This record gives sequence, structure tokens and C-alpha cells, in this order.
Amino acid sequence: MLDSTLLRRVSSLPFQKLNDEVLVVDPRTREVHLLNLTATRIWDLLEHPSTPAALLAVLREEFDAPDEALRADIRTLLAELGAKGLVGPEAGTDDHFAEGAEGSAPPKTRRP
Amino acid sequence: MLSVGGVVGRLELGVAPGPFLEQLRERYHPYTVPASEWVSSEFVLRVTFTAAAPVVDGHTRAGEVAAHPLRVEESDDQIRIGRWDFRALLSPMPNTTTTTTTMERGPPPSSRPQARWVGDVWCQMNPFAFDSLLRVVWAVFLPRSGGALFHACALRLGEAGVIFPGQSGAGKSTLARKVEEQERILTDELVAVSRGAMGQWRISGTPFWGEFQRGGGSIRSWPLNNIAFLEQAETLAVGSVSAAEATLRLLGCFLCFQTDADTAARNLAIAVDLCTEVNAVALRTRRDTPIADVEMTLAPYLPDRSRRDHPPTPREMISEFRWMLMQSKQYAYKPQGSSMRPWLRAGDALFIQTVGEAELATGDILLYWTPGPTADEDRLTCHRLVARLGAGAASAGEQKFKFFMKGDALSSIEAFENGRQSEILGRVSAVSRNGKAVPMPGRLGNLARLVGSLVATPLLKMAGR
Repeated sequence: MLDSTLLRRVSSLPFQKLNDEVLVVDPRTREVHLLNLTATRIWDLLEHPSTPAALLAVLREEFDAPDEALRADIRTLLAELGAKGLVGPEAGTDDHFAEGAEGSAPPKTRRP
Repeated sequence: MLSVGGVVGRLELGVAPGPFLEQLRERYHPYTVPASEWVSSEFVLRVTFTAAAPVVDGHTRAGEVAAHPLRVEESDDQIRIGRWDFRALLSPMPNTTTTTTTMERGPPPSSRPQARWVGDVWCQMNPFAFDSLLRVVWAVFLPRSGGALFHACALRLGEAGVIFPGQSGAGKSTLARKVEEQERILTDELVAVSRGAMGQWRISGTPFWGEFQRGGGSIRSWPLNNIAFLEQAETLAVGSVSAAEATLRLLGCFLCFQTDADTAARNLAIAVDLCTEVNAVALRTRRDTPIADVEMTLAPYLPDRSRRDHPPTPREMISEFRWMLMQSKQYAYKPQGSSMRPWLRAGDALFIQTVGEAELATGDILLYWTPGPTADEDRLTCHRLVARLGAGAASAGEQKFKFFMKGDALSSIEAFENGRQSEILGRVSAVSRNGKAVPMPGRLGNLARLVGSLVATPLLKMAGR
């Protein structure tokens, strides 16, 4: 992922903030994700399209950590969020529920 | 009519062999409300039973199941439910009320409340299929009114309600089996959670138990005081769980079959509300930990257990009374009102005995449940049987009767079909007056009192009663 890649959280996913954490539900995969403090901050920032470099600039002000460590953390978190289908490139974000979209999986239907 | 978690559904069962229908009636009876036409319901399902598919071989059945998995689609104007062995299509009813003039008796409202949704169901004549259908239907309708069905064992610890959510194998049934008093087990598999009238969370049992067992006895709800997530461990302990963690875990036990974002958002909101308003803990326990130890460990997290919780509605109170009566066959009841004076005096308590329809005789004093349009309007009535006449319609070779009832001090006569407009719970077998048991006068004595009451009717009318 390039530092200039424009990313955005998947806007169609229902979520709720609870204290400093966020719960995000992916109805298609039936998965629920609990984001920790840092991930929650990134989730908040990605309400609007942003790049990893821009995220670093903001978080640098908020977290007392060396740039390299922060950059690595952001990269790891974005990769995780991306793998879970919570964050994606700005273009095509609305296609999250389209058939065959990256990250979608057959629903794990619980039998009654 | 079935009531689960306060959501009432009217099921109009189609043609099927008598034993099959009887099996269904027995299974769901604790959750039934007399099916009066004036009772409000969330939905009406017209059920058509289709022949149960013969099991050709496991491979064919597995293919059939895989080809038609459960699908639930919900929108503002349609609810579709489909699986290999049942399908349902519901549409909203127009938001109107109809005026009825044909009601012979019952609550006085001039308008008949209608269900919000109505639809047809085709279900294989198989109790497992029917049970699964009901689970799905209530899983759809409970969240629409802010409640939910959760995979959880639910127990009453004193007057406090506790749910123990967990996936299959978490130990829900094991925990329930440790409790000897059946009335303390609300369910071992699926609990209904809903908000009470005052906004507090309450839990109630469901007919949906593990391994298709029958359980529960009434629609009575209890306050939800704790959510205890079951964890297997070597030593018994309780750990705190944050609201976010609790929500995460609870969502994993939320019975939901839809895969749309709106439903997910609604369910998330319900789970968040629950977990922010109700204390949640992780209960680490061994499979063989005695229930008394579990209760003692949870005690600090529960409110004063001696504080009495009253059924929030007359409907729940009567349903619970019916269960107690069926368990003990005889139960004391203290009536209010003056409709049976002079035979019944203020302060009298009645001993009610369960009795079969065939044993009832004219002159008997019966206790019966008449539902109102809402759960707050149900009432218990204790009146004298004036007559029992054939109602004409026979179902599955069973003669139906219409019961005519009268209060001794009233001039009006009520009529109902047992189990439809009202349900007879029992017959008065004795009266407790001033601490002494006064036996009933016997059949001749009862008949004499009935004749006296009927003769007095013109005078009662003149007195405006």
C-alpha cells in the first residue's frame, strides 16, 4: 500500500461507538469486529477519504511514538482493517456488497 | 395464539391429522393465549401443511438442504422466509380497524385490532420443521419491537433473571439440568429478551429448547439483572466484561437470519443498549460445578433477591397461574369484585381444581381467562356455569361446546367456546372463609343457587346489574 493511496472506511457497515471502542458489523460475513483505541481513531479519521501519510500526520500529534513505529502500526492496522473488509480504497467502496466484491463471503447462516 | 417475549402471533393451522395438531397444541400450550378475535397480534400466519418429504437417503436430503438453505428477506412491505421444508410470505396489513357488531361477549371495544402483518405459510407436516419456522418467525418479529432471541440458558435466581449466553456446546443445557426446580428454568436454549412497559429489560422463556425438549410453563417474564457469559474453566470465578466486549459476545448469540445492513444496524443497537444497561460478567465454571455455587458466586452481581417481582401484565399473571394450577392440580385464588355475591364474600379465597371439560356440570363455578385486546386488559373471571350447548363445529372428531356463564349477582350471561374466546382454567372446589375451608354445596346445591340466581335476574336488571 502506497502512502498516497486514498482510503476510506466502508460506509455501508453498521457500527456503534462504546466508550473508546467501536463495534463494526459486517452483515454479509456475519462477523462483528471490536476495534481498539488506535483502530477506532483510524476508523474515525477514515470517515472521509484519507491517505496513510495523512493519517500519520494526524496521529503523530496525538500519540507519543517515533514516526517509524507509528508508520508501521498504521500500515499493520490498515492491512488488518482492509483484510476484514472494513476499509478499502476510496474508489469502489460502495461496491462492498456487490457480488464477488473483495472481502465478501457467503453468510454463515446459523440454523434455528 | 402464541405469545413469545410479548410478541403475539396468531397461527391459523390448516388441515392436518388430529394427532399431529394435538402434538403441536400440547407442545406450545404454555405459550398460548386464548385465540379471541379481539386480541392484538403482530402477525397472522395461515399455515398450510404439506406432506412431509420422505427420507430417501441422507445424501439426497443433504442435497435438498444445500439447494434450499434458509433465506430470510425483510423489507417495509414484505417478509419472505424460505427453506427446504417451509416457506412464508407476509405483507403488512393496512393500518385500519374494523367495527364489529357480531361479538357476543368479551371486552367491550367496538373496534377490533388487526394484526400488523398477515401471510401464508407452507410447512411440511413435521414438528421439527414447524418448530424451526416458529423460531425464525419470532427471530424476525421480536427485534422489530426492540427485543431479541438469544442463544442462552435463562434462569431465575430468586426474583432476579440471569441469562447465560453461549454457542452450542458452551454448557447452557448442562447448567439448566443442574436446577431442580423447573419453574426457575426459563429456557436452556433460546431466551426472549424484551423491554417492559417501564423500559427495563425483561426475559421470558420460549418453547424453543435444546434437543427438541419441551420446557417452560408460562409466558411470565422476569427482570434481566445480569448477563453471564459461560466459559469452561477449572475453577469457578467471575470476571468483569466491558460493555463493548459484552456486546461483541452477545451479538454472536443473537438469533438472526437476515444479511442486510439495516437489520444488522438494528440488532447492533439492541445489543449495545442491552449491554450498556445490564451488568455483564464472564462466568468461569466447570461442568460439574453445583448450581448453588454458581448462584453464590453471582450473588454480589444481583439485586436484593428477596425483592418481589410482580408479573407486569394480567396476561403474564394469568399464564403463570395456569401453569401453577396445572402443576399442582389445585391452587388457591383470591377473587375481587362482587359479581358472585351473596355466595362469595369479601375476603374469601377459592380453591381451584383443574378439571376436564367432560366433568363440568351446570351450576359449577368456574375460573376462566378472557384475554383483552392488549396484555394489560386480560381478566380472570369466576362465574357460574349456566349451560353448556354443542357449538356445532366439530374438529378431528371432537365435539365443541359453547359455555354460558353468569355471575350470581349479575343479570347478563356470557358465552364462549373454551380455548377460543376464553379458556377455562378450573373449577372451584372449596372456599376458604375466615380461616376455615367451606366445602362446595355439591351439584344439587349448585343447581339450586343457579336457579335462585336466574330467578333473581329481573330484580338484578331493575337494579341495573
